[in-house]
Parts: sequence; structure tokens; C-alpha cells
Amino acid sequence: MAISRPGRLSTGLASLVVLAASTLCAAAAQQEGDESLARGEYLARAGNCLSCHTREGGAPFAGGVPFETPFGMLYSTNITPDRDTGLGQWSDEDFVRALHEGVGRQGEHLYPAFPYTAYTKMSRDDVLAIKRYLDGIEPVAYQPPENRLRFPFNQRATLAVWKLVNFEAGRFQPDPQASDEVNRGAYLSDAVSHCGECHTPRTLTQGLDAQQHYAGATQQGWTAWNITSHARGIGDWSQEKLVRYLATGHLRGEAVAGGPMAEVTSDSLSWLSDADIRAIASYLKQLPAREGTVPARSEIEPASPDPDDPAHGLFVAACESCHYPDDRGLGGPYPSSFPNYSAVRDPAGTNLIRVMLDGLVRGGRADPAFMPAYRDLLTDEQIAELATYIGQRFGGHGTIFSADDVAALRD
Amino acid sequence: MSGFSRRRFLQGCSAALVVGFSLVRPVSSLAAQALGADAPDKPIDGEQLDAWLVVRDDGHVVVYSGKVELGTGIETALRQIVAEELGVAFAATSLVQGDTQLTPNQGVTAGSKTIQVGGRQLRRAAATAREALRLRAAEVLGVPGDALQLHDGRASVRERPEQAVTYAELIGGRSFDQPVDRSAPLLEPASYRLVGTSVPRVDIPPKLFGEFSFVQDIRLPGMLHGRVIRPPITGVSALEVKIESIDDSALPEGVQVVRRGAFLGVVAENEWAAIQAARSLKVQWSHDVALPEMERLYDYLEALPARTSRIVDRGELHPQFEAAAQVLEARYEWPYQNHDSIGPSCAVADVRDDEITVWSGTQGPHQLRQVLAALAERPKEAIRVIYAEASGCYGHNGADDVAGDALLMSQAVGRPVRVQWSREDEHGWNPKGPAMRMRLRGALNDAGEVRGWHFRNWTPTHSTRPGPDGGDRALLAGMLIHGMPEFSRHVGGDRNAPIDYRFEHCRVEVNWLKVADTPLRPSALRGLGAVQNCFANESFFDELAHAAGRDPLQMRLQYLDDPRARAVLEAAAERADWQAARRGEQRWREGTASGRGVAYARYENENAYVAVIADVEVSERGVKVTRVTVGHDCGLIINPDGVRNQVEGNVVQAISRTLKEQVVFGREGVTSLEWGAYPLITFAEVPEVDIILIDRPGEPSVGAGEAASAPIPAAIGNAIFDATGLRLRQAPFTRQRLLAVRDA
Amino acid sequence: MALSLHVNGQAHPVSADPDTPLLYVLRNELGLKGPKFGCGLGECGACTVLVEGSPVRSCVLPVASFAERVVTTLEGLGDADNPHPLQQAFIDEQAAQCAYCIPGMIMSAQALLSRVPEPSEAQIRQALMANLCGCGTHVRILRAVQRAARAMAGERRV
Ligand code: FES
Ligand code: FES
Repeated sequence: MAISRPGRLSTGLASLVVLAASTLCAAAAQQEGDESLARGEYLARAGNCLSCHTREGGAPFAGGVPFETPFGMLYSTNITPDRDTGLGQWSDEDFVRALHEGVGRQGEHLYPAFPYTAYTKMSRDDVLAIKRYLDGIEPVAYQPPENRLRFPFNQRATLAVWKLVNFEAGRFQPDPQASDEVNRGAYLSDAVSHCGECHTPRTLTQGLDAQQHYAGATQQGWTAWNITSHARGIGDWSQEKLVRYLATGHLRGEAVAGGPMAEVTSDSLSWLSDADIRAIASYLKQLPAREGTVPARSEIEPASPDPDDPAHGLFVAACESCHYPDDRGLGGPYPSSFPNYSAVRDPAGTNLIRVMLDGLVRGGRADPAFMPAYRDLLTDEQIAELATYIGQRFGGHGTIFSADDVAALRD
Repeated sequence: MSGFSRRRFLQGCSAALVVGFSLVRPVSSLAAQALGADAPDKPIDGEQLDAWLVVRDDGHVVVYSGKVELGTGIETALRQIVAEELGVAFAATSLVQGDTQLTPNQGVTAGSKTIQVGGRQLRRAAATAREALRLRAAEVLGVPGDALQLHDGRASVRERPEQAVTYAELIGGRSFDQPVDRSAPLLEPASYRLVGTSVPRVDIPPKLFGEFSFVQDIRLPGMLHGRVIRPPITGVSALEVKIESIDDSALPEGVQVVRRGAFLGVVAENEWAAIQAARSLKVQWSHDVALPEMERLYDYLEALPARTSRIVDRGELHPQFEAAAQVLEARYEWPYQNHDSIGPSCAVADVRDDEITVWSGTQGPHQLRQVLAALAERPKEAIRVIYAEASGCYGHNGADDVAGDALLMSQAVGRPVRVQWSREDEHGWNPKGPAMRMRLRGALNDAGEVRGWHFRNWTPTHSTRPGPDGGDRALLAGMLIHGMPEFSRHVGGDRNAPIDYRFEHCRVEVNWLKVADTPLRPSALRGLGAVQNCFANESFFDELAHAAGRDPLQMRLQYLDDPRARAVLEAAAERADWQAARRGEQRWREGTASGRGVAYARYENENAYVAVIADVEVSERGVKVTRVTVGHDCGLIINPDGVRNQVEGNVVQAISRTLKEQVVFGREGVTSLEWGAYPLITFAEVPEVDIILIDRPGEPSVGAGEAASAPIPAAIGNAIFDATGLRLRQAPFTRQRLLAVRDA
Repeated sequence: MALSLHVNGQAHPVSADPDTPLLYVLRNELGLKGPKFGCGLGECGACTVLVEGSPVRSCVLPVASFAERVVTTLEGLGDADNPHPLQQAFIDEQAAQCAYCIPGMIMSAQALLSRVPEPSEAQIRQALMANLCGCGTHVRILRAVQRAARAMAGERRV
């Protein structure tokens, strides 16, 4: 097995060296010239199959990643061509049906953690190209754990009802009013990269709320920001900035992808062509503005530090020693411009706390960012104190976080 | 006896060591300074007195120690021993350590044996020297030897102190030319003035002013900086790996790539350039390894082929279990752990045509020299290893490996090379304290007496140090070039597997696993198997006490005859105000519950005695140790504050290991490669530590470097049980594990 | 263009690439041994120096950022003839095992004492929060900082 070495750190930190998922390259190399295969690989990248179907320490695409959903605990499936545990016995029709209709090989309804609500918009050719590509990767015999579902979702029939309400099968229809670029971006965002799965809030029945398309939502303990053209979204980002962010997951001093978005940028978006990234950005830029809960930078006023605040000392020791947030900052990869970050301005504090717990590893196409995970180096009380202090001083809000808030985001 | 001869080795004056250190002076220039010369032919044969100490012209005594300062204060303690025994002022001594050209081979500095063994050797040497000086002085002063008193560097007539001769006059600058006399009389401990006092550590001030040179601080003229590039199968035992291709197109100019087999490094003029180069080199590796899933680790270990050695087999176990009123069984598990060296390993090598010099933080310079010779394919006489202090190592970390790396790079580029491991290198590649499973079975009769005790564990050797087997393949670089060695040693996994309790029917079995079968490369970490085995033994003892409805402290005392064992337990119990009735009252549901636990061990069943009482608070947020009380007896105490410092360190580090530390690995090796993923104890978690040292001037000194680590995990586990009724049998006791056990 | 660094009361021209983390410049160009390399990731505190009184991780921040700043390392606090009260207190308490972490501890403690002259134990623990020690010297380090604080308070009162 030939493996190209990603400089590995647990938290992936040495993705300072470009991360190359071996199987992808190896498979691609074997059958050069096969265009549909290359397209399949590219689409698999764009659809980010890898992130959800590769568990920590497991083989690529072998599944087993746990998803805590309102339905219960779901595990992603093995999509390598292994005959017994993977897709080895799936026909093209089986595969198309799964992506287009959310129906499994035995005719069972699939849980929408698998984003067929988006994939249904993909063209049949593209779906089959992905199949072609997956057929060629190394088969891995691995049976993911059984799903653990709550009643009534442990009845697959319930899903039929859910689908009736929340799912509409059908291919992507280009908007004749929009440019080709915008349409391409819409196809990629809505059908392939399924951005809405995280960025669109859900209805009571856990369907995507079409009225609030891309207006921001909290999923799996992370907040996916409002990415509409509202000022509380990405309204004041230039196209150029947005492209840079999507391609690298990092805008020095302004934004950095964390949590699931970090995976999306490093496993998926950073592999896309510049034209496709531009297309996605163009599509996002023209989306109707939707109000959000996180005030824009221009709406807030950072406070001056209060050295008597007991959290100040902690901040100096744990944060300031790299971020050094005085008016001049120290530059380098550690931002001192905290108010620029949505995580800091968000009164809910979700991503702020998460980033302290889990740290940050961004090693996309350029401009790496790293922050240590403080999960086991700071206590819940300390993280709560810091989040409160940071929110007050830089975020323009006065949320007081408790150790329980931190504990709730821990696991 | 004839007069002392002019010391040959004082004559050859080579300034090689001193010249050339523009920024810093490496440690061993102390040797040159002390001797006024490089002393190339000073004897190092430990049978010879001259190997151990030298009295200079000015009466200053230079002590040569093959044991090295690892941050435990032995430089001071060993000088105390020699100054006392020889009769000189402490300030009139200095210590040269760990230099294959200058110091005797005393094996590796490990196992808490520096004072116990190394101190004894030096004491013998000093006593021999004192008696030789006494004879000579008797001749000079014309009085019988026993009419003389020897102290402060002089021999004087007891009745007429003004009639005196100094050591400098007697021997200054000359050699003793005689063997160490094993029967030389030793001073009575009652007469000690220096030993037993807290002489401040001599090495501390320079370290606090930035004057001291750690191995990381050594700079040679013309020195380059090297970095290693490691294969993706991080830290695994069965290291079989090949480089398929290297793409160096992104390398900056002037960077050299060094490759031998699968060993790969880059060398650059400037350190930052070397770091960047190591990152930008793209390498295709091939390998064939798939480690077991970490969740199945312990079952995996137990299922491996093993060589079973029954180290205790007393009485008749079977009938006792048949007849028992209660039989308890439990299994305990301990994860792979790292050496927590805050400074990653570093070495400097200067390979020249005629000689090779390597500065290293190794625990065994002579052992390292041997394997470096194999690696360099040169005779060992051509190699000089000079010990330079590194960050605390707590056992076999990357210090030896990085010396091999530096040597290969210097050999390839023909300039001195300093290799600094990255944090990732250290966390990924330093040998790990091995993961172990322990199984226990115990039989109780109606009266709550322990009738049967059966211990089994599964462990690889805890030493893959450079040494008797493996040759240069005991070094990472050697493994990458020649492949894995077979390690035939069985070290450490049996440490403290036997218990001191007087059980009539008792069996202890150790199942030795082959290193190559186990996932990660194992080696010595503070306490070796004693930590794991004591965790199991002392936790299980508690389980038996609970089942028998007995107070765990009282039950321990019942089965211990040795008065020194009882004394440490009683001392700790008294200081902590142990209340038998407290136990079992608290049962945690929510909120915070507090509890306390006790554990005892005699290190290696024959050295220091330690009793620990731990107080904990347990809540949904996890376990917090609030206070630790230690009763400690390591025989004659050389330096009480030094011992205290060691015990405190053991306690805090062992808490960290018990509550937090665990190497995480995936199918291709270690994935916990920095402090976020492999957390250490922080200031928020450090408890109050209360230590009672029991000094035994009549008993030989035994090591204090690791003994106190062993009983800590069980004391904490027992305290958690006291607080919550939950028995944690797998370390580390993280919050997740606590909640998992609660919810199970 | 060569940068000029102001370290321990002296200006030093440095030739390093502006992206080089400060630590390597302090150690390799200026020959300082106080700041230590521990992780290069901002996690352990061994490399801590003071920048205008604040504790800063020199292993991650680029040297170019310090061009206009006043940097103090362990060497800038005091020396054997004229020890800083913290250095003296660490000696008096014998607060070191291997001592590799100690320079960083002292620098973080100095930042605290200049901000909070008479800190509580909790404040000391908090200020040293992000400094790791592998040897388990914490108990003594706490005592040493307390001792230094007392000594400095005494000096002020005199
Ligand atoms: S070396 Fe800078 S924080 Fe560890
Ligand atoms: S004293 Fe060794 S790391 Fe702190």
C-alpha cells in the first residue's frame, strides 16, 4: 500500500503539509484517461463523501462515523466496494435510487443524515460517475455499528411519512434568469456539496426550512453561520474574500473554518477548481438576504479590558500569550482582531466554546491555522470564564456562560 | 605504600573541548575546566580508584560519575556522599558526569539506582581514597593512622590539630594508582555532618539565570541544524517501511537531504529553514501494518502468544478457591503512556574522520556509544559520548534515538549537526510505557480472610534500551535502516507484580509478550511495570477488603509483618487522620462527593516503602485529587529536600498519568501528537501534597526516584470507590470513563 | 531589510526571515538560553518571553511582529550577582527538577506580579495555567511565586 505522508498530528495539525488521501490518488492513477472516473473522484470530493464515511482511525470510505441526530444515533455506512459490508453488490440502479430517492438496496427508506434531499438534485450521469469512482477504490471489510434509534424513528415506516413531508425528489433545474456561473454554483452548493444540510435551519419535523435557505443553524454542537447576503451573513464580504475563504478555510484576521466546516474545506472545497469555487461564491452572493442572530461587526462595540476581572488573568495566560490583542496586535497566524469573528460576536457562544474545547486545525490549500484543543488543559469552569470574558470584551454581548454550558458542548 | 605517581592523564593538554564553543560551553567542558586538561588517558575502569576521583593540586576534588543528572538532584547528592566520606568541604568538590572518555561505566541512570548503587560505589571509592590518604599522612606526620582525623581536606593529629597535612600536599595532581578497596571502612552514619542535610542543589541557579546549557543549547562552530522526517506508521513496534519516492522540488536552496534506508532527514544552515524543509519534503512511503483497533487493545494483548513465567507460587491455590466463601475476580488495564519531557529530545553530533563526538541527554552514555559505533560502522573507541542534560525524561524517551539521527546526519554532511525533535516526533516516536492488562482473582473465607490470591498480567518487556540485544537497531535510525530487532529481554513487566502481603496461598504469573507483536514500541517509563501492577494489586486488595467488610487500612496492616512497611502506613494514616468508619458512607448520585483511599507498595518488593492516602472529589465533571499524604521510607536519606522534591514530583506526575494520560493510536500508529491530544496535569489540578519522610540512618539508602509513583493510581481509584461506589479499573480515570462506569 | 530587535535592554540587528518565530532568533542569533523550545505550538509555555510586560509565546509569533516591541527574556530579569526576586525565590524554594519549564514559569509569573503584586494562590495557578511541567514541580513553583510576591511587597514597603 503506497501512502503519501500527510504530516500527521492527531488534530491533523501537520496538515501544514498538504493532506493527500492516498486511496484517492492511487485509484485515480491506475486508470488514467478515464474521464468519468476522474469526474467521479472530483464529484466525490465536492460531495465530501470522505468526511462522513471515514471514522477516526478507520479506512477511507469504510464508514462507522457516529451521528447524533434527532432520530437517534446513526452510523455512516461502508461505501467501499467490499461485497459483504460495502457497496460491492450494489447495481447502478441501486445506487441511483439511494441518491435520488433515499431508498436503500433492500427497498428501505434511508435516514436523511445521508443528504439525499440534496443529492436528488444531481444528474444521473454525475451520480453514476461517483459510483464508477467508488467501485475502483480498495474494498475494506468493515461493518459499522448498528444504528441506535429512538422511537418512533426505529420504525423505517415512520421515515416514509417524514419523506412525504420533507422530501421532494427531482433533478436540479437551472434558473434561466441567472448566469451559467450562478447556476453552476447553485448546482454545486445545493445538489453536490449539500451546504444547506448544515446552513439551513430545520422545521419542527427536521426538514430543511426552505424559507430560511442558508440562514444559519446549529448542528452537531456547531453553529453553521448565516451565509446569505444579509449584513449579518456574508453580505459585506467581497467576492474575492469569499473565494479565498472557501478555498482555504481561512481569512487571516477575519474568519477561520472550525469544526465540520474545517473538514469541508480541507476534505472537499479545497480540492475544487478555482472556477467552481468562484461559481459557489457567486451563487451565495446573490442569495436573498435573511436576518440572522449574530450581529455584524459594524453593530458591536468592543469594550476595554477590565484588569480586575478575575478572568483577565486566565485570558492573559491562556489566550493573550499567542493572540496578544492590543490595538497593534502581534500579527502572524494568531489573530488579535477578535471582534471580527462571528464566533466571538455570537451571543450563543457555541462555536467560541467549541473552538476552545476542540482547537482548530486548518490546513487547506494555503495559510494554515492552528489552535490547541484546550478540552483537557482547561476545566469547564475556566472555559466558561474565558468565553464570558471574551464575549463581553470583544463580542459586544454580555452572555454569562456556565460550566454546564461547556459540559453540554463537550461530548 | 609507595608515594602517589604523577598523573599521566593530567599532562596531555588538549583544549579541544573548550575552544570552539562560541555561545555556550557544553557540560563536559566542566571536566576540562576541572582538570585543566582534557585528560584523554584518565582511567575509567571502575575497579581503579582513579576512575572515580581526582584530587587536584589545589585540593579540589573532582568526582567522576557514570550516573547522570536527570533533574533529580544527584549531582548534589553524590557530591555530598563523596565530600562526607572523603572528609572535604562540599564546595571543594565538583562532579563530572556521563562522559565515555572520563567516567566509569555505571550502566544506565535508571530504576532509582543512582544513590542506591551509584552512591554506594562512590562512597566505597571515597573511603578507599580516605584510607590511602590516612596511610600517607601517617607516614608524613610520623604518627599511627588511627591517631589522625581527616576532614576539610586535611589530615591532622587528633591530639595536636596544628600538626597537619593537606590532601593537596599529600596527593594533589597525582594519581592513587590502586584499586578500589571493597573492605575500606566506611564512616558511621551517626558521625555524618553533610549527608542527611538539605544542601541546595548546585545545578539550580545556573538554570534559573539562563546560564546553563542543556543539550538543546549546545552550539558548535560550523554547526548545522537537522530535522527528521518520519514514516506515517507512527511509533509502531513492528517497523517495516520503505521510501518509495521523494519529491524535493519544494526544498529551499542549500538544504541537504540525508537518507539511509528508510531513515530520512534534512540539514540546513538555519534551524527555521530546516523545519520548513522537513515540512515541504514530499515523501511516498510504503508499509504494511494495521494495528488493532484501540478499543480492543487489551483483549488483543491477552490473546497474543506469551511466555508465562510463574514468579510466585505458594501454597495450594485451587482448594482455597473451591472452599472460598467469596471469590472475586477483576481485570485492570493501563494504557500506553508517554514520557512527558517538556523539551523534545535533541542531540549534537560531530563526525570527523578520526573521531566522533556526540552530545546527548542519554541515560547510558557507554551503552549509547556501543550502538552508535554499530550505526556509524566505526570502532567504539572512535566515539565519544558526552552527557548533556536534557529536559526531564522519566525513562527511555527519544534521547538515544535522536543521538543516532544526529550522528547519521553529521556523517552525511561532514559538519557538526544538531537535531532537535519536534513535539510531534517526541509524542509519536519516543518509546512508550507499555499498555498492560492485569487479571486478579481472590478468595475470601467466612471470617473475611484472604485465602487465595492469583495475579496474572500481559506485558512486553519494559526495556528496549540500547544494550545487550538489538545492536544499532535499538535506535530508531537503526530500525529504519535495518529493520526491527528481536528483543529477548524481559524487563520490568514483573516489577511489583508480587505483593508484600503475607498470603499463604498465592500465585503470580507474568505473561511476556513479544515486542513486535504489541502495537507500539515499548520501553522504560518511570516505575516500569510497578505502576501498572500496583494499580491492579492495590485496587484489588481494596475490593477484597470491601467484600470482607473490612477497613482497607487495617486489613493491610494485618497482612504486613515488616515494621517499616507498617510504619509508612501508620505515619500516613496518622497525618491524614484516617477514619475507618468514614468508608462506604458516601454514595455519589449527583453533585460532588468526596472520598479517600489508601495504597501501599514497597518498590520492587525490596526497596523504598511508600504508603499513600489520596483524597478526591468526584462530580459529573470528573475526578479531582485534592490532597495526597505520603509516608516514605528510603533508608538513609542523603538530602531530605532532594527526596521531598522527588516524592512531590512522583505524586504529581502519577496523578497526571492516572487521571489524564493515554497515548491514542489508530491503525497506523500514534495519533496523539501534541499536548492537546495527550494532556498533562495543569496547575488547576495539582493537589496539596503532604509528605512524611522516615529517615533510617542505619539502613542503606535506596532510590526515591520512582517508588512513590507506584501506589498513587490505586490510592486514587480506591478513593473514587469510597466517594461513589464506582470501581474504575481502566486508566486513565477521565470524565468519560467515570461516566461510562456510572452508566454501565 | 534587516530587522532590529529590542531585547533585554539592547538593540540587536537580526537577519532572519521575518516569518521566523521569535524563539529561533532569540536562541540562535542572540545566543539566549532562557527561552526554551518545548512544542512550537503555543501549548506548553517553555518559550515564554515578556513583551511590554505580557507573557508571549515566542515559538509561534513571527519575529517581524516584534520589531517595535520591547522583549524581555529570563536573562533580562537578573543574573547570579543580581538575581530577580523570582529567581531568588525559585532558588530558595528549590523549585526545579529538570528546570526545563522554569524559565517559562518565571516569565509568566513575572507578568502576573507586575499586574497583580499580591496575588492569591488561585491567581497564581491561573496565571501559570498554560505552562506545563512534566516533572511535577508545581507545588514548589507555587510556593516560589508566593515567596517572590512577598519579597517584592517587602521591597516596596521599605
Ligand atoms: S514552545 Fe512555545 S508554547 Fe511550547
Ligand atoms: S521541572 Fe522539569 S519540566 Fe518542570
